[in-house]
Amino acid sequence: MNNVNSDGILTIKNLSKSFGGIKAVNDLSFSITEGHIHAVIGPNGAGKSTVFNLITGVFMPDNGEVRFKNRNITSMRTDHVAKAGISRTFQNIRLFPEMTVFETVLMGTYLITGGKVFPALFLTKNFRNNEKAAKERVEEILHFVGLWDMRDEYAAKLSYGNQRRVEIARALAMNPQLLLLDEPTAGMNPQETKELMDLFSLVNKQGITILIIAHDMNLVNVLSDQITVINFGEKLAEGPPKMIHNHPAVIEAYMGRAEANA
Amino acid sequence: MKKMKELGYSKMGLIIGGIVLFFLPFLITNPYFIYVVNLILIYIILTLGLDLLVGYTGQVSLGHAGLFGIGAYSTALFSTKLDYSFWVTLPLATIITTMIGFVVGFIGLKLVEEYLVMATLAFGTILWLVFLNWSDLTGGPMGVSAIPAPPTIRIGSILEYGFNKYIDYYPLFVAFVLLSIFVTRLIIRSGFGRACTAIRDDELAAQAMGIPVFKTKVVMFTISSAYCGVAGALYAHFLHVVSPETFAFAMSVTILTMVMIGGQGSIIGAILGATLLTVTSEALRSTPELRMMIYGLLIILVMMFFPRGIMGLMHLFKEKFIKNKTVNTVVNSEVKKEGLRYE
Amino acid sequence: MIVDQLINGIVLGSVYALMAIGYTMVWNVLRFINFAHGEVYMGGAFVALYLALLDMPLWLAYVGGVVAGALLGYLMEKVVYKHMRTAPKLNLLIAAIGIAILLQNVAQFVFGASPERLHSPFLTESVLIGGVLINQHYVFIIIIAIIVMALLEIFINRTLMGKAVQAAAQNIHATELMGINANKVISITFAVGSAVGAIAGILVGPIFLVYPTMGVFAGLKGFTASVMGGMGNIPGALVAGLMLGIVESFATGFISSGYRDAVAMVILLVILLVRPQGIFGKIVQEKV
Repeated sequence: MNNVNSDGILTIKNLSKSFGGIKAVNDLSFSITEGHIHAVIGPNGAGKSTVFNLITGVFMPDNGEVRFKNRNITSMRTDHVAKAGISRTFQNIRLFPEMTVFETVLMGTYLITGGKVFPALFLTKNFRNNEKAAKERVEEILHFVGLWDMRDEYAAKLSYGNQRRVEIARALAMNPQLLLLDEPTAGMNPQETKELMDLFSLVNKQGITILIIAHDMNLVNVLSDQITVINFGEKLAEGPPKMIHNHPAVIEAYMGRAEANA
Repeated sequence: MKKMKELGYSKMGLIIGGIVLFFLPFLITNPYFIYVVNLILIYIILTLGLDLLVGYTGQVSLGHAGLFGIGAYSTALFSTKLDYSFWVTLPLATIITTMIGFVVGFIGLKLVEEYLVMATLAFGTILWLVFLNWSDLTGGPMGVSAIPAPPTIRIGSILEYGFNKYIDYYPLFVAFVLLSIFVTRLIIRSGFGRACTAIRDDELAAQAMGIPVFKTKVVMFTISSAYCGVAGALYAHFLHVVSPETFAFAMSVTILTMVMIGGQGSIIGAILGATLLTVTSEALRSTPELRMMIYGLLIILVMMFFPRGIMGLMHLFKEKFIKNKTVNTVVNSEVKKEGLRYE
Repeated sequence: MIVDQLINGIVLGSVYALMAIGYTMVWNVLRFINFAHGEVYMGGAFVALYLALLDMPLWLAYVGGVVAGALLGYLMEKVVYKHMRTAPKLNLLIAAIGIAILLQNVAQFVFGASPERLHSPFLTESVLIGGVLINQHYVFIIIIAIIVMALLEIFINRTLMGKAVQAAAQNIHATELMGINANKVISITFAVGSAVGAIAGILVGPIFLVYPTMGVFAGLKGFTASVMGGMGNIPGALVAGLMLGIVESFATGFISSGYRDAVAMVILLVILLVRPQGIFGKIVQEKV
């Protein structure tokens, strides 16, 4: 299980994390190939979100290593992880409550403008250029995700699907190389799900690698190049969608249950 | 804060404010009123400074009275003990206050929310105890007196401008208020200012966008203390005396009340809050306990019913009567990250 | 000398411990710092003082003060905090500061600013314990503090309501499972915590006098003790209160008396930064 392809853009080795004696992630290893859409699936409480939080430095792992582009980013601070080129969305959408769509996405350009104080006070040329670049970037992204017409609406007032779009736009604003999407289609209706899936492949075509946590087998089957199945924080299976579909352990742990529920 | 900008609301307010400021000295001749106006100007600087921290970054400090005191005492001591001119003591006081503010912020901002509040309160209290007890330097409970006025400005024989009457300080204070407003606007519209707002609204999301949360907060705390330094220096040279009771806990509460009443995260709000409270406070000068009772009650009522202060109310009003497609935000309803456990 | 300072420290510490209980109990059920707790301490002492001036028997005046303190805490919650339960925590804290400012100045308006001594039947007498002469009122403070803590122990661990308060510390809705309304648990918590705070105020009234701002530092030190003990940890608050009192008492020997109050502030800062979970606490990582 642990012979991991270390050429991947993101490689996780023997990652473990427990909360109060309960192992949320246990000796987990997998690797993501650059340019792929890689899905992590598993039943509720399987530890998927914890994996994201371990990658992005929200939690410190008890054990193991996270490498991004051959750089060790284990336990790196969240903002440094972002700086390294990993951007993320959250399971429960986290938007700023009192900002318009444009302002929200502009927040994502921090790494472009740098957020220095003195240039802002003296309105240096560099500062003005950065601000202009940031705004142009936002404009470009809003067109890309199809929210330009709603740029002046309050983000929190949009439909659920569009809020998710805003969050993705904000994550894209920082020019990430790897985009982590945590249950991006949870709670969406089929139409919204379909539109978001189209958006993800569009993003992927821009050369951005995507790691997606999902629940919905359909979504990952169509979209992903590679799937890692986890349960109880451990890797159950890994492979392309077709292979996962027929994997006995997966059928037992995940599909079997889903079918029983259906 | 796009909503205000869109109606040219904030610009309009600033223009009206500018006109009022310009004509005020011609309308008011009573020196006492001029004195009050000057005090308001000092409070506006303090309020703008604290609002950068509270309103725009979401970090509450109850230690700003101590920093205000550092500004006032530094300038007082440099000018009385070393005979430095106002034009030297002002920047010196600002630098010293900023440095101490950096230390307080660097230590205090390792904490969040109510623990930050209590830590800044502890710092403010320690500073106040130093003003009160380091008698050799600060003059103890009596404070420092006979702080000289700024020196007369002379440009050849064309201009001679001395600081003798209250009214003479007015243009100087107006200049500093305008400078403060200008700097505040530059900050909140920069990438740095946006980062602060992101931290205020959602620290985790802010971090995920590459914003170094702790560093950004400390920088904003330091900037905020610079405002305290300037205000302290102006205060000391205007009143010619500083004493510890001015910089006690009540002052921190007063500045915070000004921010809250006006409406956090709004320049006009800060100006309104400072003006309203200074006027109330001067009107109730003879009964200070009544004044503080009103402060207390105001804080409670504002927090209970209008947590966004006057600006929030105005916004609500506008929303009701002037329909605008984008003005449909949440103002007084609570949309912050987490409330109490009991919901 | 050292024994004297130790006794002073224990007396002070008992008072801080009683104050800390109020902060910790409220924290347990609502996860919020009742900044106005110091004013309950002051309010209780003032009511006792005035009842005593009205020629009421002293014990009855004391009881009256405690009841008034409990009522004050109860009302704070009912009138203000209850309506802010979904508000951001900082708004609540600021409202609590408003309450503190209001109550201090109401007291100043009604009673005046000059400190007054609350009568005590024991103040003029001293007892010889183990070769050391101790003021009887000091002994009284320690005895009352012990009784109060014993009663509190019985209340929390032996009564249904006490168990509901404990359950509320885990999850406020759990009290509903016990058939007890959550609002009632919160009210009782405020009333009991405030009664204990008022007892502290009444106990020091005869030594440190009664005045409108007496609750400011007592409150800050009680809060310091509750943080030292670990927020929400009642036995921790007791031990920490005693420790704080003793440290403060001994520190006064080394620094000028003007800085006495700074000792607690420095301890508060150090504890918050180095061991925010308190001396006896464990770090609990919260899931995002």
